Amino acid sequence: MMDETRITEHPTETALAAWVDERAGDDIAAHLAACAGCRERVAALVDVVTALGAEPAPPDAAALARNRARIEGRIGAGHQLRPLRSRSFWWIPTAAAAAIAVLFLARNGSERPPAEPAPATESAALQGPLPVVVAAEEAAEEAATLVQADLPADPGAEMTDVDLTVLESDPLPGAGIADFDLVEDFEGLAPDDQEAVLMELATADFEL
Amino acid sequence: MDDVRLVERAQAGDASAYGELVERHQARIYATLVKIVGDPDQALDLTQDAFVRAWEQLTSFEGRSAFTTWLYRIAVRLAYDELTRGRRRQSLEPGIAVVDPAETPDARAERKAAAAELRARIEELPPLQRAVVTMRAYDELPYREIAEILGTTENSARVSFHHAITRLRGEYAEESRIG
Repeated sequence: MMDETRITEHPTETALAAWVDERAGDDIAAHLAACAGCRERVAALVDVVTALGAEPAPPDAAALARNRARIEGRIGAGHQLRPLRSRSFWWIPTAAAAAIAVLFLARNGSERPPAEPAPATESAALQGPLPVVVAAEEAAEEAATLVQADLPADPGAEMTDVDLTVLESDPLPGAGIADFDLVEDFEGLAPDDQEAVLMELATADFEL
Repeated sequence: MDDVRLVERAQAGDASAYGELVERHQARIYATLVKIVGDPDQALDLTQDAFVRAWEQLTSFEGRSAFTTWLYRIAVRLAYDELTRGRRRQSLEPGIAVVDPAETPDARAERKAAAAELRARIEELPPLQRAVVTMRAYDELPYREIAEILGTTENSARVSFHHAITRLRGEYAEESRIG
């Protein structure tokens, strides 16, 4: 056994706390075997942890009954079951559709046969994005702006991080953009129908 | 009827089934919350909020964890957010009480005084440490789970706990060495 009188350095408080918590450190165990002073420090930390782990005074049954009634009242007063998707992810299909329209046109624009020779006065404009692309981009930007405006000023007040934590352990079904087969569906349409969808997207008033 | 069945019924819109889940689990949720926030009324309010929030999100619960685990995560996170927003109330209750019928009046008074002192020290801790000490010492959760719930790292949760208990001991002196 180590001679206590020869000990010149003792573990820090946090090192002892780690030992109390997880029994971490063989050197701490050896030191404690020889050092009564540090054993007292450990005992004090153990007292703290024991007190922290003690059961709190329970609320009385009447308080719990009132609490249950309040919960049921709040649930009945409009806090109805509603999927997160309907509240927070509704815009994903809309934004996805707009993005698809932009990407599709960007990708296929050069392949589209010119319907008519463009008048000279419009040729410069045709070198830039097609009007339908611009309209789709603007619609997507407008949707994104309104979504941002719709978010609570304090994110924690309405949609806190707990939502995300919960999603990690118990994720929402089909809330991701990858779950929408819009690209496949769109490309499966006849050219005229594709054109109609694009024009509709370009001119649609998105409901927010 | 077990929790799984009650949750299924509640997910179908059966509020009475959800009421049964409240009846079963609110005392346990309250116990954790009062340990974290200290104030019994605030803990009851947070318990309400947790159950209402869970009801609103119930359709997203797929049963990959126990309902109580899922609910616990929501409740603790609400309490932690409350602390970080600085919404503290005056604590009226030490929040630490072991009922022992054989306890003498003097011993009870001494214990209550010690508990009140400890509670006062807990309320001086930063929010992360307050949440961690309860989750670790009372609920005995592994650091991995504590870190996941509070959105921090395992090491941060571990260090928070070690710092917290040394501070609560009343002689916090991390670098002090006895010569």
